Amino acid sequence: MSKEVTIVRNVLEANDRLADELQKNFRVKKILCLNLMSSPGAGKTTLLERTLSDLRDEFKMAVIEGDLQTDNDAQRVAATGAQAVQINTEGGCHLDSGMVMDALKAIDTEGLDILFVENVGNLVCPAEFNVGEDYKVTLLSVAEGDDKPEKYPFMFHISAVMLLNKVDLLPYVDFDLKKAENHAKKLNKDIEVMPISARTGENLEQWYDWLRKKRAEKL
Amino acid sequence: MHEMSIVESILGILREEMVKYDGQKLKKVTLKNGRLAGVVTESLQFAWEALIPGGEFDGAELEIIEVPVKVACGECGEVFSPEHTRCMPCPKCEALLGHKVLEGKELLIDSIEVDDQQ
Ligand SMILES: [Zn+2]
Repeated sequence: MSKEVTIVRNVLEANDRLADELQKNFRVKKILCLNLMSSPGAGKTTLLERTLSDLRDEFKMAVIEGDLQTDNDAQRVAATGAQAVQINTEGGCHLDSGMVMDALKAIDTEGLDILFVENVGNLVCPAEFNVGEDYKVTLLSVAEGDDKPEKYPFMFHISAVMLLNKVDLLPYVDFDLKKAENHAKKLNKDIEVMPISARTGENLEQWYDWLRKKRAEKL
Repeated sequence: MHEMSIVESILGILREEMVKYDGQKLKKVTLKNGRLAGVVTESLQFAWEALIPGGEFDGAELEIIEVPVKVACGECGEVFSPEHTRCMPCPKCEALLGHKVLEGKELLIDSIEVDDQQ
C-alpha cells in the first residue's frame, strides 16, 4: 500500500544560498566585493578604468564584467593591469551568483583586495539578485535626468552609494543635483551621494576614500 | 552545474523525513521548481538519475513541477506573470522596477509517496 504525504520543505533559495557561499568566501579572503549597477552608458567602465589605474599601487583589484554592450569593455579594464573576466549572460539583463561563482574560477583571488562586479547595464533586474557583494553601488549620470531615483526606487533603496557621474556636463544638461540627492535619501536615508566625473577625475578622492574605508573594515 | 549539490540537499531532507516512515520505501518525490530559482529541471532530473541507483532510494521517481513567475507591480500593484523572467514590464503601467515576487522563486519538496514494502 502506498500513501502520499505533503511535506513542503524548502530545498534552498538557490541564488541566495550561492550568494551566501560567495560572501563567506570573500569574508575569509578579506575581499571587498562591490556590485556596480547603472543604466547603459552611465560610465561604469570609465569609472572602473580610472579607479583601477589610480589605486593600482594601493590595492590588488579584479573585475567581473557582465556588461556586453561592447566587446572592448573587458579589454579597457585589462589595459589597466587588473584582472578582468567577462561573463556571457546570453541576453540576460542581470548577473546572478552562479555566474559570478563560475567567473571567479578564472580569477586569482590570492591577495585580492577588491572585486568589482560590473553588472549588466540596466536599473531594474540587477537590483533583485545578490551576487555575494558587500555593497551595491549605483552609478547615475547627470545626462540621464534627475528623476531616476523616483523612477527606479528599488535600486536606490538597496544601494549604499549613489555616484552621480559626468558632473562636468552639468552646465549643459537640466539636472538638479540636490533634487536627485533628496530623492535618493528619501528612499534610503543612509545612501551616500557622491557627485563625480570619471572623465575629468573630479571628486574621485571621495569615492576612493570610501573604498579605502570599506576595504579596511573587511580586515 | 550546481544541480548535483541541490540533489544532495534534497537527499538530506528525504533522509530526515523518511525516519518517520520506518521500514517503508520511498516511491516518489514531487518537487516544485520556480522559474526564478535558477535550477534547470532537466539537469536536476539528470542528477537525480545519476545519484539514486544503488542507494537507499533506489527506484524512487522524481517528479518536477515547474512553477511560473507571478509578481505584483511595484508601482500599481497589478499582479501578472511576466513573459520573460529577467525583464518584467508591468502590463498595466509599464513600470519595470520594484516588483514583488509572489511565486516562482521557490524550490520546494512538495510531497513524497511512500510504499509499504513488507
Ligand atoms: Zn504596474
